[in-house]
Amino acid sequence: MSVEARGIRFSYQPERTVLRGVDLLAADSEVTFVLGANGSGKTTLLQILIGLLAPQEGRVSVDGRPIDRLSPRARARRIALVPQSHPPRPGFTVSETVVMGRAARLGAFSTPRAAEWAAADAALEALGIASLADRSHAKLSGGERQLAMIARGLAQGANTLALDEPDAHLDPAYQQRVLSALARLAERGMALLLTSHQPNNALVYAHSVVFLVGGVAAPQLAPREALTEERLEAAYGVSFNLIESPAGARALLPKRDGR
Amino acid sequence: MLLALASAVPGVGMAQAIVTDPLGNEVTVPQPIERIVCPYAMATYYLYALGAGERLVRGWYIGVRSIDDAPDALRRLEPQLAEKLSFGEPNLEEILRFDADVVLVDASRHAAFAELAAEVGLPVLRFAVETPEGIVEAMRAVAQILGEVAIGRAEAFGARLDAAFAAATGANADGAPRVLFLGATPLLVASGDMYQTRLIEAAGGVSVSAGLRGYWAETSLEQILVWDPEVVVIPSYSEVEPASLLESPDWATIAAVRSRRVYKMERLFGPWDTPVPDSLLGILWLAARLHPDGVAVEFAAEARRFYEEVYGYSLSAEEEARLAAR
Amino acid sequence: MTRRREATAWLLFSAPLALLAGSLLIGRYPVSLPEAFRALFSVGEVPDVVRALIVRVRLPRAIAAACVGANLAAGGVIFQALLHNPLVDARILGVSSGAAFGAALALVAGAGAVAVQWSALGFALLAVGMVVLVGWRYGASTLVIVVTGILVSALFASLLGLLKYVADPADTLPAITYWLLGSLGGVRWADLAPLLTATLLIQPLLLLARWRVNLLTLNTAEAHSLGVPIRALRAAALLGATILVAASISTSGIVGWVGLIVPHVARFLVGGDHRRALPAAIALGAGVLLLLDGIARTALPVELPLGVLTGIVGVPGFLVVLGGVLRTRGALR
Repeated sequence: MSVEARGIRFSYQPERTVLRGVDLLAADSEVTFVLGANGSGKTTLLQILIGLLAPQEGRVSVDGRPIDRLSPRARARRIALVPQSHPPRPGFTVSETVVMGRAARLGAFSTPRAAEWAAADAALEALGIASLADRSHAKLSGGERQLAMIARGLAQGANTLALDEPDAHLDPAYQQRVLSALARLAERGMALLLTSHQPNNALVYAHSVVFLVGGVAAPQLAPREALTEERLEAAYGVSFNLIESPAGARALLPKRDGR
Repeated sequence: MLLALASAVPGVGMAQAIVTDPLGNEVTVPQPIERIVCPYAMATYYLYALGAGERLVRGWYIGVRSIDDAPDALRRLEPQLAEKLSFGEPNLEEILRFDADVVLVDASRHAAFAELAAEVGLPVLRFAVETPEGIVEAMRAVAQILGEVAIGRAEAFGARLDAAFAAATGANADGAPRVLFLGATPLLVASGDMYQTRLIEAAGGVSVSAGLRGYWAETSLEQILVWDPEVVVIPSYSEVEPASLLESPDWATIAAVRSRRVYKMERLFGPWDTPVPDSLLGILWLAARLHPDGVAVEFAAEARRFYEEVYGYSLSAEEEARLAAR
Repeated sequence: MTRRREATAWLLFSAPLALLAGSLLIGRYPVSLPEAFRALFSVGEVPDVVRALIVRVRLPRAIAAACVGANLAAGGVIFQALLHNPLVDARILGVSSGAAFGAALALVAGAGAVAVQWSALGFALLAVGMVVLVGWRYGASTLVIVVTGILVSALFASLLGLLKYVADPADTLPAITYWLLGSLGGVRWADLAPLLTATLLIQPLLLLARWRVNLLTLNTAEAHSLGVPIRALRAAALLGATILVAASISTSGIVGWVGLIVPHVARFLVGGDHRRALPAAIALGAGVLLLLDGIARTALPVELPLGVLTGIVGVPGFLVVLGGVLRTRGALR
């Protein structure tokens, strides 16, 4: 139960090829980080993985099933996307926003019943924001909104969660809240795939790391092997220093003026 | 037009008659008619002309929205004007409150109201008067329900109108002058479809703006110069005064201004350029000005006779002078 | 639900019913409660005029007012969700311009009241159809839809101007003008066919699907992720709302502001979730229009145009709403 992409080629227009043969596997019980420079195609890749965009070549399968053979509802029950931006929704409580995630399980003329609200509550609980359930969504902080959006994706009941830069625009405390929540979900067996601009977060939380450079995914490796100074420089065009503390913790610091 | 007296309806104790309105609808009205409500503003004047003014309970009067707008003469003609005056869209329930025997309406403007009135069994006569001849037809239709005296007066009015036409057309030997009929403002002119064009034709003239369609049309000074009318007529309700055109350098080259043939209509009860009985005077008034040598009409005397015989109203000396002024 | 919420809900749903009943009692012609009761339920002795007045004049008019108010409000809710913009109502896509043109065309052609209604309805749907077609061709983003709506409205407004120009000044032109001002005067049972059909067909569906309306507020990517067939949903919502509004305008003429403001008041009272906001708006819309139409036909000895009354109440109402929207947005930036 996971999502797998094979040989993805995608161009927006004939002249603008963004992905040139990407292979990727986001496995169960793992957190997979996709790193790459701005414009390297990370968001495009995620959109292809949930079937919003169709690649010119290549296949995506979710839980072993090709994604183009799944109905939208079936697909939504297997893989969920948490997008990058999440504007506030005035007039809705957090619960009401999260329960929208159950849309794929409800008929056209049904309103959510106890089971759906329970699922929404469980999702809020899993992300540690159960106390926000009745708060107005518009009054949340950016970090709280991020957690709420993840809760909505979780409420879909899918086993695979794809997140577009979930650690962006957050202070360190919220970044840790979000990422540790995701780690806990992986422990429960879910497949987590996320894009990020923070190599250090990958160092701490990733089970597997992929770089998107030049439209191609570098081989998927464990963080130790993937996050080297050479690979980072190839990906971002900037030099890094890999620092290791006596206790074994590692960090990547960008070099300033080559120092 | 039939006047058939149906047998008195048993148990109700009121006589009824079946009449035909000018649009050809057969309507059953009670007899005698005592209480009339008249949203069709032209017909209000027909009622007075037919001697049925006292039977009017609520009336709409052209150009009069409140008692302050009413010409003095109208207030003298109708002492109870303040109570009877109404305006705007007719309200069915309000009219029912007045126990009306019949309602006189505009066939198209009050179409929905007429249908609704039918639902509650309120008799409605529909009118659509667009020509001077139409006034006579309408008066005959109303007279049907009012009784013999009214019928006689309607016929008399018909004869009077024929005479007016004869007097006006008899003077056409010297050709039909070009006439420009203005509206509320100097560049608003009457289009071909309007009643004003009929008036001009009856008076032996031709309207320069007859080719225009629709309602009052906004035109340009340049177009007026092209038309070069020989006579300019201004209605009584306009804000334009002859002096302003006669003294305006822009209008100075126009034939009408050069020969100082710019006239403003007078008004006693209703405007003379609308389909009310008074427009008969409008025809004579206009004919006299279009063919000053041809039309043998002593206007002051005509006006006095008209108001006396049609409306039963005696002109004061001051009113007579005003109406006959050049 | 909290106590206050419950009380609000009860009030919102009983008020229109009370107003409907009350509408039968008010009017320039004095009718007492016992008389009205006897007339309505055909019991006892009541003068013919009173019975006809209650059953054939006041009742169809009250029902029309309630339906038009409910439909315009529902249309406003749907369009605000659909276009992600709280400051629009159904008119933005040309519904009312098309209807006005259709009505005027029929009036100029000398057709009867029924033909006027169907013509208004037909052209209203045509106008929206044009917007959808053009929108489809050019990408169906909100911007394209709104701009096309403005263009189509302008087109029909110009055509209307042309019709007014050629209309007979003595009768047709005043009839057109009056239609444009909006009024329920003269509404009889025979006139209610399109309105009742549309209302009874679509409102129940709308109410059943009221939670789905929430999903209209999602953008395309979010909706896709959630497995929501957003295109079909948007199309259905657009179609339903347009039919409701077109049927209403063809009956009452142009009655503005209700579709714009009632959704805001409803959301203010019961929150933004459409499970509550939609039924609340429908009830509120019906109540408001019953109230205003009652004033239109009773306050003065003459009929006041309904559209003018909604404007008088609506414009200051809109300013209040605008202030609220700006405050909400401003506080969060």
